[in-house]
Amino acid sequence: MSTDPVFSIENLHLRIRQFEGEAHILNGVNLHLRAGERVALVGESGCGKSSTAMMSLGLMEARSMRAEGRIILDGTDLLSLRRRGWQGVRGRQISMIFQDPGAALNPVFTVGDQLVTAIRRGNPSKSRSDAQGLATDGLRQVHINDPERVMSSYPFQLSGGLNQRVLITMALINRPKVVVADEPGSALDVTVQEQTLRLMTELCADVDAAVLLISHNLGVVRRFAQRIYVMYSGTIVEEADTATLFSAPRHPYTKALLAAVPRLTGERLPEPIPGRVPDYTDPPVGCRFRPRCPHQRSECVDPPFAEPAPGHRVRCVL
Amino acid sequence: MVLFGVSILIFGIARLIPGDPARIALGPMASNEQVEAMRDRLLLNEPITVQYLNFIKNLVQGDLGTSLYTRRPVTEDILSTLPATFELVLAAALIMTVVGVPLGILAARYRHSGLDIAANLLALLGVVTPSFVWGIFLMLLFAFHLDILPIAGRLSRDAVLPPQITGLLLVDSALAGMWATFWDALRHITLPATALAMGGLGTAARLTRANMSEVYGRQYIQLARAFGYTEREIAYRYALRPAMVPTLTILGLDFAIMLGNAFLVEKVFAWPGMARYGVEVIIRKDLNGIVGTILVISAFFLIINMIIDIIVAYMNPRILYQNQ
Amino acid sequence: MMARRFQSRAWYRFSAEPMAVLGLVLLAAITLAAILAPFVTPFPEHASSFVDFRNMSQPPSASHWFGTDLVGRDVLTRVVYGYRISLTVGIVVLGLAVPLGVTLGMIAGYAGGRLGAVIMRITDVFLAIPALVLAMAVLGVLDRTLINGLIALAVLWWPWYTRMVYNQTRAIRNEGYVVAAQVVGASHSWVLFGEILPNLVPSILTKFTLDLGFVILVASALSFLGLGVEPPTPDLGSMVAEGAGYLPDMWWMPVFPGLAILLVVLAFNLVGDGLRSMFGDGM
Repeated sequence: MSTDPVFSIENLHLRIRQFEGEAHILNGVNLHLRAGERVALVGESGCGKSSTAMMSLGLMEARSMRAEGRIILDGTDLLSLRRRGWQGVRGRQISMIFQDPGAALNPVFTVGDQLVTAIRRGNPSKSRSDAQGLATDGLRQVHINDPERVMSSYPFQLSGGLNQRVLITMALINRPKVVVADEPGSALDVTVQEQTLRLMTELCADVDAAVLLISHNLGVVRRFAQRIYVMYSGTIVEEADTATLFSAPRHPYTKALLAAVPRLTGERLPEPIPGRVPDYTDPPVGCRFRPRCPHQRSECVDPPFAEPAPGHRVRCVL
Repeated sequence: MVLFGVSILIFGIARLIPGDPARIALGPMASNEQVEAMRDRLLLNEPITVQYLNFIKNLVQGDLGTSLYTRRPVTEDILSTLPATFELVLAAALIMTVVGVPLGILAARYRHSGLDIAANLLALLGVVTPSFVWGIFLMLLFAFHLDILPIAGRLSRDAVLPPQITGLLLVDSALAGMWATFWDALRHITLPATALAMGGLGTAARLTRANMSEVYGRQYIQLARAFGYTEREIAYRYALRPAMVPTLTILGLDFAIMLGNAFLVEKVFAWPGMARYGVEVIIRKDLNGIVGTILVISAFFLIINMIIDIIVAYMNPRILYQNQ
Repeated sequence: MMARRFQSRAWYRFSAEPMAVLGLVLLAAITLAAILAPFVTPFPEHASSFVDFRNMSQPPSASHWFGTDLVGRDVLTRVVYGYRISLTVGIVVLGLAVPLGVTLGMIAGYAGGRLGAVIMRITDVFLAIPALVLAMAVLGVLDRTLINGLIALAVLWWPWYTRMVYNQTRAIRNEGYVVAAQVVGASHSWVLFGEILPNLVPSILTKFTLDLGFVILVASALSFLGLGVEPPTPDLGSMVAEGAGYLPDMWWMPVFPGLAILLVVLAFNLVGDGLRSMFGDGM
């Protein structure tokens, strides 16, 4: 496994102007993915993890938004791309698995139609029948037994689980280097979510794609991710490999998140984190978790990154 | 089913006419015996249910009774003027769709551009300007000021009439290969059809834009972008079809408005359609005439909506599969 | 505090649309001119039957901005007086149609079942006849007076409110707060008018504003066809119809009243659109 990252986000800022003032949605996000690596980005809803995902594919659209920083895929800065440049990148080198399979497939086209278009988009030289064959094989790989029937169906005729598998196939069929998965399957029930993550692990290993899994649930990512980034209010507050993060969390926010995960063996109910995600137009100075932190003190105003172990970085003075 | 309700409603309205239809028809000079004879003939002395059943019976046979105003069968009266109105409305619907929908697509693709603003302005003007005012403006500009299109009527006085097949001059003259007549008819229909289309054209553009924008907000469009589709592909292949489903349904309603507005435009351009007849029968309180006119227009409207429902079903597989 | 913030936010949204503000200004100007017509028009006496053959058919000039008509009456004066009729018609028609339509729609949506079905089928029948034609039919039955014209327009306007309110009532009928009110034993009329109606206000108000313009438009169309108020009352639609016969020489006779109709409908539309984006997603 090479050590050079295939994909990295460097000091990404995102500001959007609103009625209440300018919202500072992303406040210097840094993260990277090595080839074939499975990484999770975890945080409460509203912490900016979905914005990060959208920015990675250039899908963020707001009239009055400003972005700074760099998003680098294989040596190219994606933030500097214009529309035409994006078209060569999306779907071929980076793709996305969406959260709600019911909403992400176009209701007026058959599944096969949409798969074939996606394939030919990435590979214009492929003939229609070749693409059809490839799509059928792709569906078999996600353990769909009757790909022909699925191909000729409309999305609303299939179950959520089947549609989710179609989305996975679509995301990986052009062998991208990076897949961004925004809470895949979380719109469906837990068993489907499990199955989705298992399939993703399997297939990404096959095509050697790196995965950035966006999730609010530490319990879900534990079995999937090799490394985890914890995000709070637009910043990464802690990063570590999965085992370290679960055994020796450093940041109070990570600890709080871990305490909020329900456990089968647990003798008490998970503890909710007191307080709520701060106002983005008027964030607390320095560490944004300070108002909710049980250990707040005066040095918290602008904590640097500490590195208690190689690869384990935490933005806290503790 | 709805047509049945419409027939009751219209029959009810018609029977509410104050005064005695027979007396109105015959005029104040008629004797009481004449009036009584006419009442018998019109079944006005029978109970209301018998009158209604008789009305439906005749209706099914295509008999709308005799006009008390022209003293000819209403069916004949209407058939002689309907094709002209039909041609006008059809031409306007064509202009509305062919110009309005693409305008809306472009406006949605290039949101907040000059074109979008212009389309919005046109849409707004189209909606707020009565079609007779459009008619007058267009007539002043193109027929009087620029003098490039005829002022009124359906054909020039010296034009050769094509053999009547459909009653639509444009179609008939094209079928007969009489291109001089075709050109003449086309020049005559341009202004009234445009005036009639203006209101719906704006709505069509606005609706298409709104529904396209709505679809643009959907996740499957993001997915298409995430897979590197060009904006062109996204607009015409991925967004247009889902967006057209709600658009078409509303355009059906616009058609209804057009059927009514045709009366106004016909008056401005002296178009020999149903308008004059319709207004005349109302002013003269010609019972059978009123009922016939409204029934024909409502039936026309319902048929068009049925056609649109069928098109929508084919564009939206979900409806198609639910019905099976 | 929250309410204040909410209000200023609503105004922020409304005023963010320059066109909506323009519409509001336009509307204020028209309404004021119509109310104060006897004081602001140059020749108030021209509003009724008045004849001055020395000044007949004059093109627009400094003393008659919009020209004069066939009997020498000032067109500008008559346009402003025409607005009086138009605005009255709009308000009266919707004043009749909206309460009826909204009440029926709420009942149909809330009660559902057979009663709801019957109300909605009747509504469908009314909606199946093109509006203008239906108004013509009603006018054909009744004598052509102003009052009857208003009734005719009201008859064709209520079903639209019934349909809109029906759909929205059905959508919120099972919301928590409605069910909660039922659970604590609120009467049906309280649930309808106390819980459901307040939620419908934004869309009713928006449609009401837009429709004020459209009622004026349809009313002018009826009088253009000769089915409106009788002369000599100045009415924008009949002024256009009268002038249309003298094109192109006396172009000012139909053009200015025509523009006047356009302007008032435009104003209501702009304000209505502004309201729509103000209520928009925040509600």
